[in-house]
Amino acid sequence: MIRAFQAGDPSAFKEIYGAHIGPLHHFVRRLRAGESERMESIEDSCQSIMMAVYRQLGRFAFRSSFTTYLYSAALNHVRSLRRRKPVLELDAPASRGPEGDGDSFKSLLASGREGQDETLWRRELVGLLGRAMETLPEREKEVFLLREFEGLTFEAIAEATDQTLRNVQLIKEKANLRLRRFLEAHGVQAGEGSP
Amino acid sequence: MKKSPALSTLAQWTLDQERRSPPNVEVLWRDFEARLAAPTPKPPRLWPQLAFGLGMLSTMAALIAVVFLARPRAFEAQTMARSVLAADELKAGVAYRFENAAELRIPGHAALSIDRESILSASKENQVSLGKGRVSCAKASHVCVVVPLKNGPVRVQGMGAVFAVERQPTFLEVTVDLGPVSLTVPGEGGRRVLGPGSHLRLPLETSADGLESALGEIVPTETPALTEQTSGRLLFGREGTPASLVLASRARSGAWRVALHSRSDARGAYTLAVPRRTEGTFLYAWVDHDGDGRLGIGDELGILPLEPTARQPEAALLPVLGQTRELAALTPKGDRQAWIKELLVKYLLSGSGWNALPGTTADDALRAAFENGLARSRAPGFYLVGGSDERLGPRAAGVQRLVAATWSPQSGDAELFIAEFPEFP
Repeated sequence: MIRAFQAGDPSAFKEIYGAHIGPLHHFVRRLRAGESERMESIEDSCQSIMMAVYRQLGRFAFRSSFTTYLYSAALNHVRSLRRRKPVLELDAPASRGPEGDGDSFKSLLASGREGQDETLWRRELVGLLGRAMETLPEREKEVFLLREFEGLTFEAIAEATDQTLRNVQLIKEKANLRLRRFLEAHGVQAGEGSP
Repeated sequence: MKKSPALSTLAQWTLDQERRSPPNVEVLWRDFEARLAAPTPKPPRLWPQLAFGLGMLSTMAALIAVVFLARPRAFEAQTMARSVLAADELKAGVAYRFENAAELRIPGHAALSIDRESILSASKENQVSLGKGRVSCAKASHVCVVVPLKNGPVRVQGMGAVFAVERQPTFLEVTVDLGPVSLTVPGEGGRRVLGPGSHLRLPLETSADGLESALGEIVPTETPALTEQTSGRLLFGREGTPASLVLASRARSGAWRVALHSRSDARGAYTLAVPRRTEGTFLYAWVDHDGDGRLGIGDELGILPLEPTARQPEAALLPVLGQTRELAALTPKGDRQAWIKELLVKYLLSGSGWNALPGTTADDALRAAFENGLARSRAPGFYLVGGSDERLGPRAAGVQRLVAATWSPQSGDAELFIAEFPEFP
């Protein structure tokens, strides 16, 4: 499809768009979780990223996978968005610290969660992980998301984030550690998994 | 503490949840198409920035043009067989090369005795200003002279020395920009050495002939300039011989700084980092053969001017040590200034074949040196000692006008000063 687009078939981009906009949307939403959308909504971010890709795709040289290329563009966009002067928040932002709903979650655990529905348990853990990821520093969050959610290899992440392979691995380890600590602070011990 | 699956599993659960609520791709695509079709927002108007940039560029271009035009023009070279020229023979922008000319004379105007193969350029319209007077020498050994006519400013540049003569309201001022330079001053009975920043005032009514006399014998003293860092491991001495080393350097102010380094090293190796951008730095090193920590009889002495290109100075230092001298016993202890003064005196006396009697003070020795003609000239606070090679005698072969000293009779401070350097093989 990319080659078709580069050959002059603009309609080919629709297929590229359809195949990637979903994962991209989720990735950007996770990446910007906890950030204000006053500057730009998640949807606008995704469209801007896709617009940039549409304009630059003619020069794509297949030196990396398109996924790596796309996430690299997404990271650049989100980073530049963060560098922009923040819009004055007229409303007090919803204050939800890293502890957030942790207390209610703890109470849920204490009140005999094991008997609860497995789906509820999963949902709660997923929500807790989402809050934990919000506490990650920018770089750690990027690497963790690209590795665990987007399934990129460390090599691809290194390319997308413009870091060395070793550095990316270290960042991932630090992110894992930070997330485990967060979960432990909320009464959950995460099992050991892949790095 | 409740156990949960691994983080990667939690991430997978998250993805599973998200898959249940995928974004509406069709809606997003239509929005995307609409955005593509929408006219591209006009970029901000650039002409104010462009105008500013162009203004800056033109200003810089004008500055560059000014600098370029103001720089010394390349002189058209003209070799002259004779050394006496009529004033109207001189043309502006022409460099005259006088080969083997011991003296150059321009009747009616400032005349200068210059080294052979010197270059003279002049303007008969008296338009050579001080700024334009800075001409580049074709060779380091050349003396480049700019002689404006009719008592205009005179600027002489050569072998590291630049000085200018400017007409002040009540006197003519000779300023040495870079030095040292030695010149003969009438009435002072000998050559006088002016360091950088030195001033010499002459009566305003000094005629061209007077100026000629004042500057009659310009012998700029060669001072190797060290403009970039030279550092390295200096190897000198012999295997198993303790070595000592003195680093002398000239500050931008013109003052000489002397630092004594001593080190006993079985391999006789010394690592020295020369300060960056130190001008006229040279090494004054000796090998302490008897290992008593003193520069004494039987020790070896070498002097090494550090050239800018001397990336590996050890290669240059070793041959210097071939030109060694025996020195009278010296004790580099106690007050450094006093030691330097003592060193100078002993050095002077050892070169002359004289020996200081026990108990002779440095001042006495210096006075004796002058009285015996060993000191070449005397100016307030300044002594040039060492003299020419013939004065120093056969034992100083290869060393020419080696040492000079500044010395204040009031404070007794002395500083090591090397006016010229040994000729290396």
